[in-house]
Amino acid sequence: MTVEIGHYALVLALCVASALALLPSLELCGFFSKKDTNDSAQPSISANPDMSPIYALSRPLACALFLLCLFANAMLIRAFLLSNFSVLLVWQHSHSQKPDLYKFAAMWGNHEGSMLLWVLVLSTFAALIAFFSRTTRLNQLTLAIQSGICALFLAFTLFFSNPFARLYPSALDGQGLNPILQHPALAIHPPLLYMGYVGLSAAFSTTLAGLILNDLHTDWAKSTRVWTLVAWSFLGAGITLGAFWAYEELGWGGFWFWDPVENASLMPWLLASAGLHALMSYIKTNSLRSWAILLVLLAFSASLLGTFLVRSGVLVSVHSFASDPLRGIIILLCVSLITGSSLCLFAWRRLADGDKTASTEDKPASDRRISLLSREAGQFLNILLLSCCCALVMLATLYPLFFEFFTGNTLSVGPPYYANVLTPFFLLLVAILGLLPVLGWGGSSLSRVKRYIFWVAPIACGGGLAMLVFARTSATVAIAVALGLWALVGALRTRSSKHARGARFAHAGIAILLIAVACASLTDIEKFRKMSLGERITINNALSSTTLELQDIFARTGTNYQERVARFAFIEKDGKSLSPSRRVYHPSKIETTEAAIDRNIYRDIYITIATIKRNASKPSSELDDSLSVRVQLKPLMFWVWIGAGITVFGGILSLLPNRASGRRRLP
Amino acid sequence: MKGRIHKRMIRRLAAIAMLLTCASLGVFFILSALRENIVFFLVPSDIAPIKASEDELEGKGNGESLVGRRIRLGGLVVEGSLMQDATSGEVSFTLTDGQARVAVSYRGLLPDLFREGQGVVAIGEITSRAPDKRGRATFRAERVLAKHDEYYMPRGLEKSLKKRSLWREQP
Repeated sequence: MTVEIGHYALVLALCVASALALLPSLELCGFFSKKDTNDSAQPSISANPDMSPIYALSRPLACALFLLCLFANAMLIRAFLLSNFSVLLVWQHSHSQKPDLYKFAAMWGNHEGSMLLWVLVLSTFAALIAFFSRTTRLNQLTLAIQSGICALFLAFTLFFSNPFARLYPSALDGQGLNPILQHPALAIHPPLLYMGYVGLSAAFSTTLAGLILNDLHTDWAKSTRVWTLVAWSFLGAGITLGAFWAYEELGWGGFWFWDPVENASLMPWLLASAGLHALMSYIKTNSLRSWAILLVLLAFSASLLGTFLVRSGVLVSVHSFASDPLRGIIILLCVSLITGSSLCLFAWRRLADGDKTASTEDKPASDRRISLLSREAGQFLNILLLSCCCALVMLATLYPLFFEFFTGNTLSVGPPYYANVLTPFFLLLVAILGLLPVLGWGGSSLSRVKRYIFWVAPIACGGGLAMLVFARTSATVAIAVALGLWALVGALRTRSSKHARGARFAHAGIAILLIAVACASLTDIEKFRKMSLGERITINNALSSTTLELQDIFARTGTNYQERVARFAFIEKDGKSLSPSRRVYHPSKIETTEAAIDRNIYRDIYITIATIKRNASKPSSELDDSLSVRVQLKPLMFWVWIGAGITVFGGILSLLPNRASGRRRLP
Repeated sequence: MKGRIHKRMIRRLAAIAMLLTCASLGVFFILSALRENIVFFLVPSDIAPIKASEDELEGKGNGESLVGRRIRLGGLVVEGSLMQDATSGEVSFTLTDGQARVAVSYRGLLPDLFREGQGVVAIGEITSRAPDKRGRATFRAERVLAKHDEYYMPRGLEKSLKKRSLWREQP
């Protein structure tokens, strides 16, 4: 019963969203209009809070939309928590013996449930737009567009991936969630990632509304910046958690595989970062407006493209869901509709503006001569580099798709491509980052920049040299460490810095991330051996050495799995041990590797074990006393998470009102 | 006035020319990086053992010799072929697509879902296409992937199996 109520709530939500989307057109048609509607191109109108009375409806409607979506989600979660196996989705993806947290998380561990979550987040942002922005024409149109997108996805959910479909006759027990997804990080990873993906829709709606009204001024830039920042922070947190999950759960010891699905989340993040910088530039110096518009539009398009790639299963990916081609085509249609129309509108406005700009008073500063040693120039280079990175990632992600389409051969692009191509861009990016504290808006004097370089460069070079001499690393790592230090010092320098607080944190985080990633992925050491009880394995690099002894192999039973655990004791440190295991989950008989990780601030020790299984029908129950062991030493791995965390924190900090302007509401 | 415009034109043209040169150089490097790192998905019959004289392969890989090139090899693990070296822990197994067989050696942990008789993907390079004692090409894997979830099948393999009507639906 409650399941049907949830379904009806979703249908109602579709009606409400459509109504909200149609409000402005009702006004255009002349209904409810008190006064004659003026030319919408006049910016003075958009500041006018007294508009057509029909807009009084928008807040209650947005609220209703949000509550209906929330209710539908709650009903589905309820079905999962109560293990209601008369619902097809619950039967497919849950099991009565699963811990409650994972029953809960199973709701978005599949296509239908995650689309429902997607819709919920869309409606959340619609409600936020309705309640936290003033009633201006721009904001009303923004809300309408946001609801329109929401309606589109609600319709998709209802007609092509109904999460409330029933199973008749109902089953006794479920099929279980893919156990590889049974990890706390994955319980919160999808909501965070979706807040990021979908948060970009708010920025997109605002920009599209501005384009339609031809009203893209500081108000637009400020609210777009807030939405983009929210999305950017969530997206960063989501990506980090995803990488953390892959590191802990996949058992390969890596955290980023340049997999299409990972790339799909990275592309919007890169574009959103570029967009944020362009928006900042526009707010401060009235320059780079077209870039800002374009990047905001593209960022949401990239996140839609990402959804398409993940959901349609067109790409060969380790993360592929079981897929349905029809859904893929429908999503592709939605994506092209939204992206195509917005980009066409942008192009049309630009062409129409082209003749006017020469005569208008607020001539964009892009025509002004920009000093090379100014913040704007830095921002512009930064935007260019980030966009290039995104284009390169996109090229390699989509290339196999086109190749297969035209030639029929299947291929993929290897990780070395990304490493080779992206490294120079990223290093250049970080090099510019280090200069930012001395670059002011409008320009800085050459002598000041020189003095700064003479002060910081020795620190950076020293760090790089130390890596070469003491840790005996490769030149790439040394350069990465030097540039990382260079940017870090720049970000931490407080005296007469031109940085905002949040930006400083974000940049420091990026610098730490660069150093940590370079060390963890280029100087890691791996040992693979077959070991018996009592044997020892030593893993060492230039700076540290660790010896582990295989002390015990035993069986253990968990809530919905049985595992075979090996205990390794540290020889150097008494009493400390690591216990990697192989688990077999009950309902599905799927085995997973559970890595054991010893972390400290210098390095991670990562152990995984395996046993040989001869056949599916003969499970490896015989407990022999030898197993294959892989030990990895990953320097500074801990700082990858810290760096990413600081970057996200910087984004959140930028959202808080600055000392001077304590404005609560969005403009 | 006219002279100034002329000068500006020349300067602009020079800038555009510079930009184009840089961009095309960049695109050239990027495309060549892409080309070098393309990993083809092949099945055992694509790399069936051949005599040393004809190690050119038509169609796939642009006719280049495939030996030493990074590829993804998809196939079914032959029942009873999985072996492990007692001291080094190195494993070896045979992959097949119903026509040809490839001997794969791998130093590392096999994935969780690795089973004999099931589809896997091995990423690595072909060490030799000369047939070994049992008539197989040899392949050295850097990483072995098995089905990520219960329903996942490497797409390229599924296609190739269907072509040879060896495909059977998973239970």
